[in-house]
Amino acid sequence: MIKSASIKKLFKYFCLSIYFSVLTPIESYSVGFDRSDKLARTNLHHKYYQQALYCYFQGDYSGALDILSLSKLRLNSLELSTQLFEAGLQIKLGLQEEASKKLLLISNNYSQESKISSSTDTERPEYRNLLKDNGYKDSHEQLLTLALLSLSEQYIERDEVVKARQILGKISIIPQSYYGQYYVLSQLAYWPEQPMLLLPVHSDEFKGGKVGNSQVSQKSLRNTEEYSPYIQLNMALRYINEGKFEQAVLILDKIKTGSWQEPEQSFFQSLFSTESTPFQGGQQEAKIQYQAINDHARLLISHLHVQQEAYDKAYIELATFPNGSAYAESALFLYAFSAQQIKQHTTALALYTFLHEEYPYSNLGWQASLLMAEQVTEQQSLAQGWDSYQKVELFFLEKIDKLNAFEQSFLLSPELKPVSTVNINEIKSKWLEQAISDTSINSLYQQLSEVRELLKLSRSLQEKSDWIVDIIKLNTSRKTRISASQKALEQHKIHQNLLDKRASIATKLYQALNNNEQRGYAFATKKEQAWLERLEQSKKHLTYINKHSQRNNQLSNANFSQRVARIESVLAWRFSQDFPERAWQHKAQLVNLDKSLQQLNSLKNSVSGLLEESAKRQGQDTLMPFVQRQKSEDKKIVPLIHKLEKLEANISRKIREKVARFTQERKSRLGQHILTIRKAMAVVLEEMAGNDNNIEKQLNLDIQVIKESL
Amino acid sequence: MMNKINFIEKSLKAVKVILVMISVLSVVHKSSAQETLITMQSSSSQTNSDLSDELQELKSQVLQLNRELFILEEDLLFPASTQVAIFVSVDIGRFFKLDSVEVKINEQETAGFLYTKRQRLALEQGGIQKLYLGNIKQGRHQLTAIFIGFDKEGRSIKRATQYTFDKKDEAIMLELKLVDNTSNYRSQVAVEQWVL
Repeated sequence: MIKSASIKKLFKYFCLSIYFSVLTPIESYSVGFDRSDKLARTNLHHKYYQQALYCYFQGDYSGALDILSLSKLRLNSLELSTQLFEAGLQIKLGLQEEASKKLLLISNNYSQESKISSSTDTERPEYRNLLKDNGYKDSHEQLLTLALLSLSEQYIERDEVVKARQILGKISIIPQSYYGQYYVLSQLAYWPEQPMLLLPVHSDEFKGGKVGNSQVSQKSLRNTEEYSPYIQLNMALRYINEGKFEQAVLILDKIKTGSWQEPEQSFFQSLFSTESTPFQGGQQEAKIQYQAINDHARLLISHLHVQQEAYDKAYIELATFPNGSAYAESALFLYAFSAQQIKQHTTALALYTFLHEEYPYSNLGWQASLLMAEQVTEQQSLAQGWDSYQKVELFFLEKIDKLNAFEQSFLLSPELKPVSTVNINEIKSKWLEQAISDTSINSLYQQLSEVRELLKLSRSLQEKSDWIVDIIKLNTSRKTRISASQKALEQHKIHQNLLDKRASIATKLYQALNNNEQRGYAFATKKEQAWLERLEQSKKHLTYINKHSQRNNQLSNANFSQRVARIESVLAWRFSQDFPERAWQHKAQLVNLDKSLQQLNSLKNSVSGLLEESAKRQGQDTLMPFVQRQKSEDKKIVPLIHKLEKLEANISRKIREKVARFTQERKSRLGQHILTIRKAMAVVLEEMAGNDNNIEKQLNLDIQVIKESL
Repeated sequence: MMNKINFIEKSLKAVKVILVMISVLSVVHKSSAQETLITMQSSSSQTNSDLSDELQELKSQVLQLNRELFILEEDLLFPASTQVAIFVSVDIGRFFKLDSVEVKINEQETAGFLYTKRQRLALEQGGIQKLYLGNIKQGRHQLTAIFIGFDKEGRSIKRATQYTFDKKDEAIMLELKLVDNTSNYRSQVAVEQWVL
């Protein structure tokens, strides 16, 4: 007894422990424990940022900027790194002014924020990308530095060096990874003076904004100077400007044979780079660029030698200048000139001839033509020189004619054709190609092409706005139609009919289920019902026959009755067999019908609710906000198109003016060259005449002598 | 001699022109901060600057208008009460090189996309793609997503997932994440429903 009581107690405790440890949580789960308040909100800032990244990495900067703007509209604010991202995208799209304003705002806001709180922001999600890219512990200063460097670059591009200096002055700390950029910008902003530079800071030295070890920083500074060709080049140019040629040559000598590694750029560095497509080219492009730097250094050295009349040095320097260089033309000219000075006349003549033939539209080519004719006169004969001068004169006259023809066709054309400002070789007219080499004309053409793109976009926006109007109209008429059809439908009546029908079906079913005597006949199929009817008919006939037939037919009548009874019993048995299943099926169908009626009821209620709401508003359309928005956008489009058309006309006019000036300048230069040629030809003629006189005199003397001897 | 001096002066000028032309020649198109100094003719740059400012302002207005109309169109065609948006992201993409994705809602084909190398790299670098934006009625729905791609050995592989969600008055945003699992060196598909 005692044992059983204790066992029972143990069992009870065991069950209770199971309940509290296991079942309670399950129970709470199963009764719909509400966890929704525990779910953290998704960081939509980050999600929009990532969507913009997807567009950015495909080179779709406009798409990326649209997403960021959308996020600003939806979320009412942007995080700091997103704002920086936005500024970078604006730069990529050529919206320098906007980008500058944004960067200024960031730097002002940010410098105020950092005074308020210097707590660790490394945990904040918006800095995760930056940290991932740069491994920099405190990203506050890095963000500010980025913004300031980009802003100063914008100002330098616009030739606003004073502002650029002010912005660079705001930088208090500069990490190693941005030091090269900072150095070059400082050189440009303070040109031609030597800039005052901060020392670079290593990430492992940086602690809470304090500058690290100065010796290490000096070493970093020297390394940066040594390993950046642009810094070296700018230093050389400054020495040239100051007349310190030897120091310039020392630096240029290093540059001309140097090889550099393209520094790895962080995400934000490549974002703020003004290269339009940073994802193309890569190492190959970097190689070409550094080769160009080598060539440029070599050319500058040669120029310095020529300036100091060390022509032999210039000649040796340029002898190995690469053929395919971008500076080939200038190098060839200097080389030819140096050759001429050191009496390498054959080489000089060959080079001048080459320049004359290969560069018939450039200034250097024309100068080479003059020097070529001069060389022919000096090195060959006066007659050949004369021929050469004549050919060159004809050449210049032909150029003037072609220039006139170009001027006529260009200035009188009704609309300026689009021209590639990047692939200049694709331009058919050589004169236009020359004109576009001028930076101001080039930038005007770029602006013209941008304006035309914007016009195209604006016109498509007009179409979109019209389409939105149509959509709103369609929606409005659809709603009106639905509302009217709902009213005409008398849905309440129909619903009531359905409910009544359901009720009658349910009644019949109930009756069939509860009426034992019907023996399942209620669920008979059509075929079975036909059999039952036939059976009834047969019974009636038999009853009639029995009533009216003679006695001697009673036996056959009984037989028929038996047969009918047998069929009836077979049918009854069959129905009773099928009854449970059919009953269940009908019940299930009734349940489904009830569910459908329930759904219909809820749908009816919601539609009624909507209709009631719209009726309450008394004519106020739910689409009204859309209509208002569309109207306000539509008002902006036409004036925008007009402004763009006006700007297009303005830019076209400017281009025509500048091209006209260009052609005038070219014509005047050609005119000067023709004058020079003619003067030279006059000198040659004089010499020839002088020689002829001398020959004549000599001949006369000889005749005299012969006469006298005779 | 005079002619020679003239030519020296001209060649010096020519080299200065070279310095000016550096920015134009296509080879050295590094950021202008790294180019040699350009001497600009002040009067023409002033005029160009005005045009440039005007152009920038108009460009900014056009882009702003474009964005506003885009948002209006989206709000009109995809109101929050019926809106469903599906996104795709990849983390990190070492075990699964994404080639294409197919999405069905309630067994109806809804969206599909074939990825170029650039698009795949954009996803692997942290981008999120907006795969689909549409409308569905309120109630319970089932989403099926099938990712097709290649493993490290170049073999074709598929990953799929199903997800049931309830559509109510708010917009539904579902992110299909292809996630690398370093414990078994495989990728799996996870679905994140954004909490708005």
